[in-house]
Amino acid sequence: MISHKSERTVTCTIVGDGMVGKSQICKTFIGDLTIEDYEATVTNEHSVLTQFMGDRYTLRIVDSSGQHDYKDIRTLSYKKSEVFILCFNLSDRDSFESIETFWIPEIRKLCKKTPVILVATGKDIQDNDENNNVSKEEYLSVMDKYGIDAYVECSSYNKEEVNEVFEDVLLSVIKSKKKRLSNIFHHLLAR
Amino acid sequence: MDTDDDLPDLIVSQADGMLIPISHFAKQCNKRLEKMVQSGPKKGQRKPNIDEIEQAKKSIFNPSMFGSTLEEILALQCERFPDRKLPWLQTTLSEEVLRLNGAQTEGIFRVPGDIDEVNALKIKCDQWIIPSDCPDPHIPASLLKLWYRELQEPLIPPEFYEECIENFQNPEEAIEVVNKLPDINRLVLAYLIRFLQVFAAEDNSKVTKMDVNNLAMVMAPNCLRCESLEPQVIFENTRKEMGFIRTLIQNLDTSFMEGIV
Repeated sequence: MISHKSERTVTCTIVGDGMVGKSQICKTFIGDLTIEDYEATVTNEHSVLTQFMGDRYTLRIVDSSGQHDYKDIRTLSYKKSEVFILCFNLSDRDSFESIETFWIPEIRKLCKKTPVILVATGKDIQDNDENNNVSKEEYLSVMDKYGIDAYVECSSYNKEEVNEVFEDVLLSVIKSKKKRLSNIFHHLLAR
Repeated sequence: MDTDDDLPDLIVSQADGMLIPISHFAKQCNKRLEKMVQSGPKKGQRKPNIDEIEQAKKSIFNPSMFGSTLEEILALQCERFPDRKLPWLQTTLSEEVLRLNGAQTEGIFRVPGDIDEVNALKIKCDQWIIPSDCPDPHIPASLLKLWYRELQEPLIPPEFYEECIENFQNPEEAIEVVNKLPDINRLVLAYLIRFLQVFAAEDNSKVTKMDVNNLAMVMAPNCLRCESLEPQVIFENTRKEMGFIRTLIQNLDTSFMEGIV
C-alpha cells in the first residue's frame, strides 16, 4: 500500500503549444527512459508519489494536448486542477506568444485564481535565428503582467531541473492554501 | 454594443437606389442565427449570444468564407470561379502549404502558426488575396485547420457522426459512410484526405515527424464534432474520431479526385 496518513493529492495540468516538450517533462519526472517519440498527446494522466518538505504527496499530472483545436477535451481537467504548468520553448517565439494570446485567456476563463507556473523548455538549445530566442526580460514582463507565481527554465530531459518544476508546483499549492486560510482568518477577525 | 441601431443605416447605404424588401435581410440574418443555435451541445435550447448576433448581422453584407456552410461558400465564389467544384480557399491554402515546403517541415499541422499572421492571412483570404510573401508554412496550415473547424456545419455532418464512431476501425464501412455524404461534403473531405495522404507518405513523414497517427490526431476535431457534454463520452469518442480519420487516410482511394479543383 502506498497510502499514508499525511499524504495528500495535488492535481496539476500541464499546458502549452504543441511540441514544446510537455510530455517529455512528465516522462523525465516519472523516470520513464523510453526513447523520444513524437506522438501528439490527446490527454494522459500520471500519478506520482513524492516527498516535499517532509510531507508525502501524490502528484496527479494531467498531460494535455497542445492542439488549440482540442479545447473541449483539454478543459475537462481544468476545474480539478490546483495549479497549471504553462510551457513554452525558449527558441520558439511563437510558443511564447501563444502564452498571452491563447493559454492565459483559456486558463483564466475557467480558473480565475488557480496558480500558474511558467516553464521555459529547451534551455540547452538556441535557435540560429536570434529573433526566435526569447529573452529573460520578455518572460519576466509576462510574469508580472499576469501575476504568474513562479518561473523555471529547464531542459525537458534534465531530471534535476524538471524536479524543480514540480517542487514549485507543490510550493505554489501550499502558498495559495495558506493565503486562503489567512484570508478566512482575517475575514473572521474583521467581523 | 448595440446591435439593433445601426442595422437600418447599413441597409439604406448598401441598398441605395434598389428596392429590396427589408424582410429579405431579416430572413438571411434569421436563417443564420437559427443555424447557430442549432449547433453545439444544447441544440435549439439556448439563445444566441451577442457575438453570434453581431456575426449574423455582418454576414448579410460581408459574407465570409469562414464560419459559413459549404453551400454558402460555393455560392460566394460562383461568379468568380464558375467551374470550381471545391472551395477556392480550401485548394488555395492547401497548395500554399505545399508551396512553402510544408511537406518537409517538422511538426506541420501540429505546431501553430503565429496568431497575428494567421489572422492577417484570414482577412486577406476573405478579399480573395493570397500574399506571395508568407514566410512560414505553419501559417496557411493553421488557417486551413481553422477554416475546416469553423465551418458552420462540421465537414462530416452530425447525422453521420455516430456511424463514423462505430466504424472507426472498419475500412469498408468507413468508406461507405464517406460515399453516403452529400456531394459537396464528400468532395471536400476526399480532397482533404488526399492532401493528408501526401504528408503520410514515408518520405515526408520521416522529416515532418507527422505520421498517420499524428495527422489523424490534429485533423479529427476539424472534421467531426462530438455533441455530447459527458466528459467520459467526449474522452472515449476523441480516440474513435482520430481512428476514423486514420482509417480514411490509410484506406480511402482518392484517385478520383485527380484534377478536380
